[in-house]
Amino acid sequence: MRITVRTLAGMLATLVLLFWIGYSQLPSFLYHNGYQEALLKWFPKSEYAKPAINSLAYELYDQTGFDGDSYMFIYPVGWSSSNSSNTVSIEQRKAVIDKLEELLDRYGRTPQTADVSFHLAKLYMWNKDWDQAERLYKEVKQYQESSDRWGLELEKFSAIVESRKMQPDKTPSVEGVIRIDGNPVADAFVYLVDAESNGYHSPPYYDYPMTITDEQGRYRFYDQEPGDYYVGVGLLPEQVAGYHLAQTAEKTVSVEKETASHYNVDFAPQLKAISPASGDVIEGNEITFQWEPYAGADYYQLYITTILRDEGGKYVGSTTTLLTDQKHTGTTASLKLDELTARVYEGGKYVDEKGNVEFDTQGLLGMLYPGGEFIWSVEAYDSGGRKLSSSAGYYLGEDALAPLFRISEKERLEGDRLILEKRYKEAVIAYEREGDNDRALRVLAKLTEHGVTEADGDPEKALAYLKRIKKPNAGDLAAMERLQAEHREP
Amino acid sequence: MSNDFWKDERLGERLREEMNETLFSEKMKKAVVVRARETSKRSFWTRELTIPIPVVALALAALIAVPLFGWRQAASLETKPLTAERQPEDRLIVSGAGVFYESQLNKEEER
Repeated sequence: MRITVRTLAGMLATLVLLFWIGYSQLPSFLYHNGYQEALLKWFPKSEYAKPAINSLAYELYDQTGFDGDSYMFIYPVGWSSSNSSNTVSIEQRKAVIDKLEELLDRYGRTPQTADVSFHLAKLYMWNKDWDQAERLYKEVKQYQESSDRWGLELEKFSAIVESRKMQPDKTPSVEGVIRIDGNPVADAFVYLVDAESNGYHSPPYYDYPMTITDEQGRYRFYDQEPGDYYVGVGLLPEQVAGYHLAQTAEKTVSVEKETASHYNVDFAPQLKAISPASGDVIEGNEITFQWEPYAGADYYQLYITTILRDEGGKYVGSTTTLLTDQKHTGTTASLKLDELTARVYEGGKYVDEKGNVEFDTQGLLGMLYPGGEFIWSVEAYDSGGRKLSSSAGYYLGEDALAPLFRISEKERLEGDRLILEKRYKEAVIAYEREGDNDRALRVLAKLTEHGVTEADGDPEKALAYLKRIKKPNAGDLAAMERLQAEHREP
Repeated sequence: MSNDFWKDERLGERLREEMNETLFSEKMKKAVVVRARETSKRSFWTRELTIPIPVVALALAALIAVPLFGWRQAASLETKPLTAERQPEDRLIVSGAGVFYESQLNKEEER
């Protein structure tokens, strides 16, 4: 290839120019395209190095799942979770911590790298390394004066970590022990919720006084305002899996000036429900519940939870009621489905502001109904009627089988399906087509008594439906008596 | 003299006449000489170099390879995910019957 010297020189000059431009712009390119590690290695003194460290810290922190924790916050009348699902282990978080510490060692701890320190402090906190977290929160606080970017989070988190220390010269306002199966739980979050307050803030780090249990599972709150408080506990799902929050004599603790109030929180082993479970389909007219015996239990009672799903099958809620009044002394209970289906309790009719009518499904179809989806639970009581435990605990272990079951759809009437779809007017027509079907008449009576529109129902017509039932049960007879009494009234 | 000689003589004459138009004039000859002198005095910048094709190919390959190598190096330096991939959101369901993961309830139902 022949080329003049001039052309060659021109080409080389262009190349050098391009190289220079490329080289000088490379840090910016690397920074803005996420090559933080390359930037820090090749251009450690670039103006982009410090922002790159923060960016890298954020990226690493993000890998642990932002909030990084998956605590469940449980208090006697409520419950919340800070993060629903997180697979980050302590070791994985430790790997991120090591990486961030290395970055700080390499590039120094300055106001520009305070974000790294803050993220690192939180990681230490989620790993329950309180000393390291406290050290870093203090370090970051030095820069807080010039910046408010960490705001409430820094203030609250550092206060939580610092509050774990006992103050020997002071009387705690509230103190107690957190135990699981009788064993003290160290490093658990404990917080106080004002019993008078309405609503609840989740996660509770920012809105409630919070502290951490010591090695003996003890917690202490100092300088609390007098009043009644719920004591909440923050634990990891794996800690509470298979346990149940034990009932206490008092749901709240009263804080008084100058004196220490005591309140312990205990988690008892969950009473184990055996069958039905895992989505068993109940065929025939008998359902047998089986559970494991519970130490000290005098009798057991069964509860049923109806699962409500939207049209897409997504869980939208549930209702729980006592299945029967019966007190079972053994560990099995066999019940007749038709009796449970006929057991219709007083469910209400709800009318929203648009005039849409909604009935309580169990109030119409009975405790258990064909095609329904349910979870059952059992509670153990001692001879004094004190609840010892319940199967309604935390099914969060890998091998936990939800006590979920379905009733076969074989006996389901067209009207039942329409009730579940909240198409009450069509349900009335469908049930009328069933003729003298006792179950259809029972639901018809209920719908007619209350009315399927905004307007009141027709108790007289409801009574007529009830009178057609061939085998009336106690509930039917009581309803007839009530309606007749109302009819007789002027 | 033979007839052939005269014949050749005429042929040569005719040939010269026909070639007259293509012959360099004195002016043209001078121009060629001047140009030849100028060429011999060509500047450094206008000198021609012969670069072997393999060298050109190597230079081009290097031009492409260097940024590619740099990009690969930069990518390889990036932090590998230190943690396991997070599971898709799995809601916790709290009910009167206990606390479950939503997937657990759906899974049980699918069985």
